[in-house]
This record gives sequence, C-alpha cells and structure tokens, in this order.
Amino acid sequence: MNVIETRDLVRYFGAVRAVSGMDLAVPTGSIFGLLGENGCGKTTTINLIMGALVPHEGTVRVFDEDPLSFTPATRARIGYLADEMALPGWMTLGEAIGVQSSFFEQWDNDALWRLLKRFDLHADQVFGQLSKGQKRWFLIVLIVAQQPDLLILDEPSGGLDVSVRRQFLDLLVDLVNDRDMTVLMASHILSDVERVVDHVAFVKAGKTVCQSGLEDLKTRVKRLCLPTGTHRHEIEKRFTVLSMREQSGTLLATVADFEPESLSGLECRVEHLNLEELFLVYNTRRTEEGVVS
Amino acid sequence: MNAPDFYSPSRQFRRALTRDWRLHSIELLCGILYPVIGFYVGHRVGQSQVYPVIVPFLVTAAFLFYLTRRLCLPEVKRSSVFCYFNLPQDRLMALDAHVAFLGMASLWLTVWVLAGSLLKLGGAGFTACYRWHPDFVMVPFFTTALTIRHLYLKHGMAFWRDSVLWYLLLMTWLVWRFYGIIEQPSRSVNNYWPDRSLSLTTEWATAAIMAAVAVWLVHTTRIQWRQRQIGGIR
Amino acid sequence: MYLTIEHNSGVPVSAQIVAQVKYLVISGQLEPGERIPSVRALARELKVNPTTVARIYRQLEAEEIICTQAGRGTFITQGRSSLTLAEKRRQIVARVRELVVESGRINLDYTELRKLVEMEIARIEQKESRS
Repeated sequence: MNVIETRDLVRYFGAVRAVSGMDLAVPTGSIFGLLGENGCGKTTTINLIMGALVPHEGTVRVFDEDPLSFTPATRARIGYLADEMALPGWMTLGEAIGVQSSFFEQWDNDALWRLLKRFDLHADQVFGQLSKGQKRWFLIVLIVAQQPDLLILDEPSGGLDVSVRRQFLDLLVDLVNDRDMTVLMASHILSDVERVVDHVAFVKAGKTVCQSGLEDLKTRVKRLCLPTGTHRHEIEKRFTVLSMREQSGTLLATVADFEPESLSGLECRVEHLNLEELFLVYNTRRTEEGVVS
Repeated sequence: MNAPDFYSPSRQFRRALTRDWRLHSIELLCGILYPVIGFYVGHRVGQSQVYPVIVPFLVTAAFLFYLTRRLCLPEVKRSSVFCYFNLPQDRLMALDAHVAFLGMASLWLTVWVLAGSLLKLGGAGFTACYRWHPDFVMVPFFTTALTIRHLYLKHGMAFWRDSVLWYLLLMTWLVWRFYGIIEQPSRSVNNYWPDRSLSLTTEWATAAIMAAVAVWLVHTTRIQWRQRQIGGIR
Repeated sequence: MYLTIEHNSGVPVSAQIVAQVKYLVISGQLEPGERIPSVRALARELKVNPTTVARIYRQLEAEEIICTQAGRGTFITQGRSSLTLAEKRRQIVARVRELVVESGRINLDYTELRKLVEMEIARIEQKESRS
C-alpha cells in the first residue's frame, strides 16, 4: 500500500521543466528520502504532492485522493514543515499551541508537552527568543501533536546543531515505530538522512534516477575492485554495470545486481557503498558513461 | 463530534476568524490611536479654522494597509505556520475569514473617526456649517480591498494593467478632493474644508462607486485566488 | 542483547544485525531458549524502521536461529542445530578467504601463511591449557 503515488509527473515553469517525468511510490510506514542537489525539483515535487501546483502532465495520488481536491479532513492527516516556516515572534508558546490546536480535531496534548520538555520549553516562553534549534523543535512538535498519518518535511534539519539534528531524526523514527506514520523527507544532506530513511529516491533534473529500499539498494549495489587485466565484457556478462573506471592499477566496477554467487572464479574485492557514495554513483552516472565509451 | 461536522464550512470560517482575532486583536486596539492622532495632523489647532477632515480617514487607510499586509503576506508567502497551507482549511475559506476580519477592522476604525468628529477632536466636528462626507468614509474600505487584491494576486501583466486603472482612480479622487484646499482657501463665509459646494448627491454617488469597485475587487481576487498556484523553482 | 549499527558504513543494517546476532549465539552470549526483544521493541531501541527489523527476524527465523512462538515472544532456537555448525563454517570461510586474498596481495608465501596460522593456533591452545 502506498501513501503517495505519482506517475509521469511533469511541471514546467515557463520553458523550464522543473519536474519531468517523476515516478514516486512512498509505501505506508516508511521514512522516504527524496534526495537530490539543490534545484533538482524536490520542492516543486512536494508542492505538487501538496496540491499547491497543478501538474502539466501525469497524476498524483495521496491517500488515494487527488491533492487538488483535498478535503480539510484529509489535509488534517498530513503534517507539513518547510525550512522557512515560522511563528509571529511576539507569541508565547502557549498562545501558539492554543491557535494551532483549535484547527485540529485530534490533538495530542500529552505528547506535545512530553516532547516540549525535552528542550525545556514552557508555555510562557516567547517564540522570538528561542534558539534556532528550539524553534525548529517547537514547530515539529506542534505538527506531531496533530497526529498526522503522513509527515512531509522539506529540508527539515538544515542549519541545526548536531545534537538537535540527532534528536529530530530520532523523533521521526520513534513516530514511525509508535504510530505507523509515514514520512516523506526532502534533503540534500545525505549523512543525516542515512540514519533514518529506509526508502530513497535520487532525484536529478526533475526525475528519479533511482528508487529503492535502502537496505535493498545497499545489498544490490556494490563496487568490485578487480585487477586491471580483467576483461570488461566478462563483468558486463555477469552483472548490470553502473559505472566502470580504472584507478591506480585497479579496475573499479560498480554493479547494480550484486550476488556473491555470480562472483565465482573472479578474483576481486567487494566494497560496500554508503548512501553518499550510492547517490554519487547514480547522480554522476551519465557523465561517467560518456567517459567510458 | 464526527469529522465532516468538525470541518464544516461554518466551523472552518469561525476558527479562521478566531485565529485572526487572536493574532491581531492587539493591533486593532492600539490601532485606535491612529485615527485619533489623525485629527491633529496637518493643521494647527486654534490657528486656522480650516480643518482637513479627510486626514483622519487617510491615516486610518494607511494603518489598514499596514494591517492587511501583516495579516495576508505570511499567508500568501506561506511563511507562517498558521497560514491556510499548513492547516486543514480551505484556502478560499481562509481568505474569506481575512476579508471579514479586515472589513470589520475597517468599520471599527472608521467608527472611531466618526466618533472623533462628534467629539470635535482637533477642531473637527459636525457643526452647523460642517457636514458629513460619505465618500471619505469609503476610503479605508477601498484601500483595504485594493491591498488584499495586491497581495493575493500574481503580479503578471494583466494584474498591472488592471491595477494601474484602480490606483489612478484612487489618486484622481484624492487630487480632486485635495484640489478644494488650493482652490478654496478659508473664507470668512466658509471656514471649513471641504466646502459645501459639492452636492451631497455627488458624494453619495462617489461613495457608491467606490463601494461597488471595492466589492468587485474582492470578488475577482477570490476567484483568482481559488485557482492560483503557488511555488516556483528553488 | 547489545547491538550496534554503523549507519554510514555501506553494509546494509540488516546484514550488520544478522551477523551480530549470529556472533552472539555462536559465542554463547545468547543462550538457546533465551528470549529476545519483539520487533517493535528492538526497532525502538535501535532507532530503525520496524520493517527493517521484521526483515531481519524473518531471515533469522528462516535460518532457524530464532523462533517466534505466537503470544509468547521470540526466542533463540533450542538445541544447537547442525545449521549453527554450518553457519560457523560459513562465517569462518569468509574470513579465511579474505585472509588468503590479502596475503596474495602483499606477496606473502602460502607456506608462510600456513605457518602463521599454525603458530597462532598453537599460541591460543597453549593459553587455553594454562588457564
């Protein structure tokens, strides 16, 4: 069951194809990382998913509904937090909670205060005087208290200290564990995301170049370090090769369908790739191919 | 309490209006100062009998411009947590609540200007030789409507083409009314400005046109806002 | 059950945990019949997605290292099965292979390697007999 599904999504801004043929499937209960460099179309995709933009081609389904005609009841199931969101600086946290809670039918005050205590936040504090980390924490807690089924976060941990970031990401995992929440998270800081995401989509020029479960991806995609004498077509016969290059006397082949069994008779060392390396493999693939051929 | 009930249009509207009140009630209360101060701006009490009664209305309109901006800009830019985009709320409903709130704010402040005139603040007052000008009363409302339109619509070619018309209309009206000051300096026969030479009928007609245009501006804004798309390349 | 995860290592989290659990069982730190945390509890403790933990448990169950008894919980399988021995062999073979490849890379003679292994075994045997 997928919470979000997009198919062949296309969105222009003038002549620019900001999103060009995006296919996403975000499974229920996953923490899904929408990963890509700045300006690759992540935010536009999120805007399309939230129904703020009309797609020029393709379809979006969220909770099996068209975002353009979300009812408020469906909208209440989605929590949304973007980087630049804030509250009026003069407001006390208590007032802000009062306003926000009035909009939601289900509101979890216990969880709210339990989470606010972690950062020593009280009702009579003024929002404008909080630290950056406290502000972000307050906002995410405000959204968690809505008890959403789907959380959409646009660059959620940008500009935060390590400890705040860690707590923030741990909170996401706890939410998925305790409440079966689904999280869609757009980010370009991969080391952060690697701790928590279990599904990833690498976005390049408005398109997903790879979409998979992270565990699956890490199991499948490996880098083989072979002696230079190895015939390239020998490797291509056994595996789907993503990239191949020679470096200081070693032939490095990154393959997309690694199986230990297919190695038999091949003298090589197998290297694991972390999220950052995986991203680079897919993101720079085209140019590398150009060099090889 | 079931879901459709909680999100019924009337309850959504009430919630949005309450939100506006909670966020901006202080500004409304402190805002009374502006029309009151307006009575003492632009003339010296006791020195001249000529009293530009238009000034408190203009000050009020300026304050409403500021208030409308503060209320609507975070919503259009989606920079506040409390904007429609982050809440389970119909976006048209959110706009309607703002319009209602700002309409009431305009009324509230205009009432203070009228009350100030009754109290003869700064020398103004409904005396025998001074009378009430309906088109002045419309200025705060008209400004609010124009500001709402300016904030909510996309600033494309069509927008500016229409806007130029409305801004010119407002400016023409202002010049026309201020012209009276230059043309008719205080005379012993008539110490008040604007004088009574402009018929009340003309003023009522002007007011009616302004009201109609204001309503029409808000109406077209609503239609376009419902269809407007947000976001760009980042 | 103390487990650690290296998130940025590139090795799938499930592979890391499966290997660690197997090691704990082989080294006797997890006794047969011992109860281990539920999927949710472990997911919460390790801060990983429950679907990942569920996948790990499925794999361990398929290899008969753990078994789930409905309503009672998850336990380490009773009785050291031959599977454990096979698994021991498999884990060691993987390490030995690395060792041999590495020796070849630094041009170490295989007789030399054999000698080194013999020496190491002798050293440990000596240590064990003394204690």
